[in-house]
Amino acid sequence: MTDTNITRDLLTRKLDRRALVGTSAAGALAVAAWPRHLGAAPVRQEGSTIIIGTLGESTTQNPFAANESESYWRAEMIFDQFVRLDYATGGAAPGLAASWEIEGLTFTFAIQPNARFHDGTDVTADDVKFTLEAILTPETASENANRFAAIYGVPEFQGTGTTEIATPAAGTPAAEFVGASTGVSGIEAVDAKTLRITLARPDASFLYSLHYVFVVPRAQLEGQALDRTSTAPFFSAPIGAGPYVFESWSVGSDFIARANPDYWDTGKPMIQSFTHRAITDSSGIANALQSGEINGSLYASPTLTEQLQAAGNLTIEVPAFAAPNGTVFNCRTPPFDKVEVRRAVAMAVNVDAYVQDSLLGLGEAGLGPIAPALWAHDPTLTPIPYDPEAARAVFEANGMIGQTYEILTNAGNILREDWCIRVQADLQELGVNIQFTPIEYTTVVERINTGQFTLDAGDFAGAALDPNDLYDQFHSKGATNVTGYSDPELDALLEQGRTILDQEEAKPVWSQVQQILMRDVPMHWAWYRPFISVVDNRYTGYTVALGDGGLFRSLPDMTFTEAP
Amino acid sequence: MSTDSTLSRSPNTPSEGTAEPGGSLARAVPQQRFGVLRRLARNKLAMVGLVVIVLLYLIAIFAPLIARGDPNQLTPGLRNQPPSLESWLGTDRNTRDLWARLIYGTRVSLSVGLAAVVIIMAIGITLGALAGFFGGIVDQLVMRTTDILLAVPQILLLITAAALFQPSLTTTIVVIGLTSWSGTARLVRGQFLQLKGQEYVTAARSIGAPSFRIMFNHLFPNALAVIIVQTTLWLSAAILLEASLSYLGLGVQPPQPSWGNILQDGQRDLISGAWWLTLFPGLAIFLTVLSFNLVGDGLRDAFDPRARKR
Amino acid sequence: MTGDTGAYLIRRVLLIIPLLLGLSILMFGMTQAAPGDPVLALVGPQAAARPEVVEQARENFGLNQPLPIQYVRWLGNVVQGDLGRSYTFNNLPVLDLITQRMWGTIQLQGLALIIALSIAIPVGIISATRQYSLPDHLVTVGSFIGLAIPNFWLALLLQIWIGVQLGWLPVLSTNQARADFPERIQYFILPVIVLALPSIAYFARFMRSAMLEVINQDYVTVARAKGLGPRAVLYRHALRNALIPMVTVIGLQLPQILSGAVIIEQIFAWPGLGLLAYEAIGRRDYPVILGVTLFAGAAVMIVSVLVDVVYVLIDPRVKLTGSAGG
Repeated sequence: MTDTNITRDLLTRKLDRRALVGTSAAGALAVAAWPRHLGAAPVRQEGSTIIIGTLGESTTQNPFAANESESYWRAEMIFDQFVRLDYATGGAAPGLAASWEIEGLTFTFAIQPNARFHDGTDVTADDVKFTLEAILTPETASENANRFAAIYGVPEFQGTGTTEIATPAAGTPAAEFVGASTGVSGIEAVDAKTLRITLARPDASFLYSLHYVFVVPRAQLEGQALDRTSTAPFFSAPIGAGPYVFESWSVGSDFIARANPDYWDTGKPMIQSFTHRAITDSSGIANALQSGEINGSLYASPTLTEQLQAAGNLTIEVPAFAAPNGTVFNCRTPPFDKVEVRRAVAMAVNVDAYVQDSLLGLGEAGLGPIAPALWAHDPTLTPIPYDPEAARAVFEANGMIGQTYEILTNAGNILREDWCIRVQADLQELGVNIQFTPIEYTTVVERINTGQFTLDAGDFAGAALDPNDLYDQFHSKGATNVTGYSDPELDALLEQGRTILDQEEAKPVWSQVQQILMRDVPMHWAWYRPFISVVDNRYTGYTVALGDGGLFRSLPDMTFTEAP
Repeated sequence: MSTDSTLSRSPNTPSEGTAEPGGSLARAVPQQRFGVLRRLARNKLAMVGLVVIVLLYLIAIFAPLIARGDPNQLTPGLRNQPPSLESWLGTDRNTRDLWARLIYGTRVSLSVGLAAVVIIMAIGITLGALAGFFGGIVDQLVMRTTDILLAVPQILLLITAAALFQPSLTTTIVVIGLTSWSGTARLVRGQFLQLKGQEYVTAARSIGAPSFRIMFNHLFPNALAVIIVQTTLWLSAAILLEASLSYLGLGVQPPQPSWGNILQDGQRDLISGAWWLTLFPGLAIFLTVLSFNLVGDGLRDAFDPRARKR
Repeated sequence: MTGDTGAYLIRRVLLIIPLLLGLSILMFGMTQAAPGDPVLALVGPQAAARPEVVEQARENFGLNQPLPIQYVRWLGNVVQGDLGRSYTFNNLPVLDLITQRMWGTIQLQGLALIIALSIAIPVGIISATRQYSLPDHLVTVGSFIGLAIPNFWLALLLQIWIGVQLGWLPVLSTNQARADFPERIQYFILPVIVLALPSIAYFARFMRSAMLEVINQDYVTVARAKGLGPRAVLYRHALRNALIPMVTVIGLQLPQILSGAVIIEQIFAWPGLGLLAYEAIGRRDYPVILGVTLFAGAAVMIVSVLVDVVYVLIDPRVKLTGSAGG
């Protein structure tokens, strides 16, 4: 995920992109979908092409090692996803899996009958099983392995124990469940085009997680190392079943792919080739857009939008917001172990001025850990009011006047740096000194994960797209609970929430979760970051969406017309 | 020719003595101290530079009186305002006053320059003196280390070190100091090497004067000309290096203002038309570096009138 | 070339080995002593908090070994011409990345150097032969200005003025390698101007003083006394001898030139070694950082030996002796 307007240094720029992946890698929901349809019937256009520029460059072509937005997006174009996220509802949509049936904890997937890899071989259930098991293999060190931990037989496969059957709910597999004879027992290739997956416990995120499965051909990769250091030739010329076929890429130069003529979704993609060009400088991207050197870009800076709009040949799209940012508190460190102090810090900062001056009105003031655009958001929440006088009283009562506290952020992310500058200035006004420390991303991660921080401007907490993200972040046993916050009532709710598959049924639970988090303020969710896409007017048919690749995730649907 | 002549690194003005061992300078000091000042005073360009430098240090010292406000003060609504009567040099993206930031930035940039030069000179003079005086293994060690440092492009060393060890004011000073001393060490070594063969040193040795005293009382004063010129030139080089590092985001970190990071932050808005955020900090760097170079060059000529005439 | 000189040059060449070894220890030590863990960035944000994934990745990259073993293993590979594989550039061999990118740097810097010299040498000569004239003063003042302008600042101003406002030249050079000959020139203009300017200033001043030194020497005076015309004196004797020290200075400027490459390539998105190094540092791609630094160090050391060789060839009076490199 790219930071927007950094021209500063690639250094922090690149790493910052990763910091944000936490949010966006979570994928692609469809908070806001406004498809732009063409009047005429779409046809493939000979010679049509699009050049897309991003600040960040992909760091790998290995889909198992992908962990930033450019790699994920490109993997989607080359390999396709097993299940996609529906832009409009946020639910699961068919990808390489044409359809599925759910019976209790058993999911039976039918694979697209005409899906073929770029070398002409059929995409089979065996390939999908291989891909999933590759993600789950510890040696692969995939960042997504944990998402599939609920599948029956995973502990045995990873050599970490035996599958525990959590709740004897309806459909729970019996203890004598046998399943597949090799690999993970819960993943069975029933026949060439049918895959059955059995879970050991209910997992509301399971279908959502399947959009991280970029299906690879087993025949090409069997027995090869699949981690980031793999030297398998496959990864320098990858073969997938996606809408585009890899053509060429040398690092530091264009990535070029052409349309897959045998794509399972017949008739797509319509644009015959696409080029991805990494441009390490945000003003460079703006210049290139204006001059027509590139036809589209992701994550433009708010400060550049006016200028780009004025250019006339470009469309600026701002999807609804789903990336909560603000101030993360270390709830273990006094005085921030007190709810009233955390609340007072939130009340002291003029969030509206920040949204106006720094986000230029393109972002939005924050309303809790789950953004308003997401289905689980509780619309009855009210923001923490801006009340410096009340905040001052709390600071005085807690002896904070004249004291200095440190706020960390990863250097290079302009919006966050500006947020720190805002927090610093507003608290200074009330007599509390803030030391602003912008540091390199991996050091931030190290300090945050080991609790060596007081305040942090980041997105280490808050739901990206899936409310279940909150489980790891705020459950007292959560793997990524960096704030050190813990509350037994919240623990119970989070445990409950992640087993309810039905959104309507789950809403009241998530409502309570949000109420508790807004009451206790382990993080001040102050603003939602705008992810701005820019595209040449001559290209239409896309869907504005969040997630890696933004509107260019719908590249296969896009068309090109010479005169708009 | 001997390759260890007097190659100095980044001080950007080519020394007229570079291609030959820096002998001629030695003769100038200390007998001609007043002659040096007189000659310097006659050099108009150097005097202009000197006046600018004095002014800059005054600005740095009295920054709170000149700045007309807090460099970190935010004023809602006054985003990217062009220069005006209220805000002499305009405001930045975060609504801060550019004049105030530049004035306080003077403090930071000049301090970085001074502190870095203290490190450069401390290491350069000490190691150069030891190498020149004792020769042998000490000399070999020092010279080989300078060989290594001189072989790698300095910016590469600087950004690697600064990035890996967390960019900050202190890191900036330390990395500039630690990567810049080799030229000075070589010059001082050359001086000591040459001077130690002279009669009065041999005489001092023969009466059993301790090495330290010989170095300090006899050799050091004679190497002073080289050292003074180097100090001046490195002041300008260090300021330029700080600006480059900060421009790459690896120097002094915001919100603390330095000329380099004001420019770095401001150029993001250049494309939206906020030219003042790029122009003024760049001018400040340019004028400062120019002034130090003029004075440094003037000093070199003043110490070595022979070079001037040829 | 005398035997002494030959022995000296051989010693110079042999000395490169321990120097590069020292450099590699310095750089390796620096990457290891630094805070922050590159593996955290490599596994991705989802996994950075999960020790089992982080440990596995550490093992995959061979970073779980004790430091001396890591170094020795790396060094062993380097000796065999294998600089390792990049962490973040699609796992490519570092040597491939370097050879791919170095041409961009060589072309850009070579052109800038040629242009700088072809302007600076005549300017220096004119300045020296008409000492204290108006052109001489202009050259002096101009070279002070040229040396004091921060190159990144000049680059930015030119980009916005010539590239964006006037729209005459492309702002970024990402594409330059794909362009064909006549179109390709436009990508070079702005970066070459920015790179050449300080070099012109530097070389012109040096040329001026080298000329002055030669002109004032006895044999020139003698030649004049023998009735040779001023032009003949200038070109037959003075120029040739003044150019000799220039060779040394050009060689010595190489690290400076490569330093400029880092910043200028970043600003113009010029796909060269400088940009590669800068990107690698940002991503904590240690194998690439080590590889590029070592490569640059070796290049500088080899060029400095070559400069000595050229020096001997063009000036028969010179004998190189003395401690190698010292």
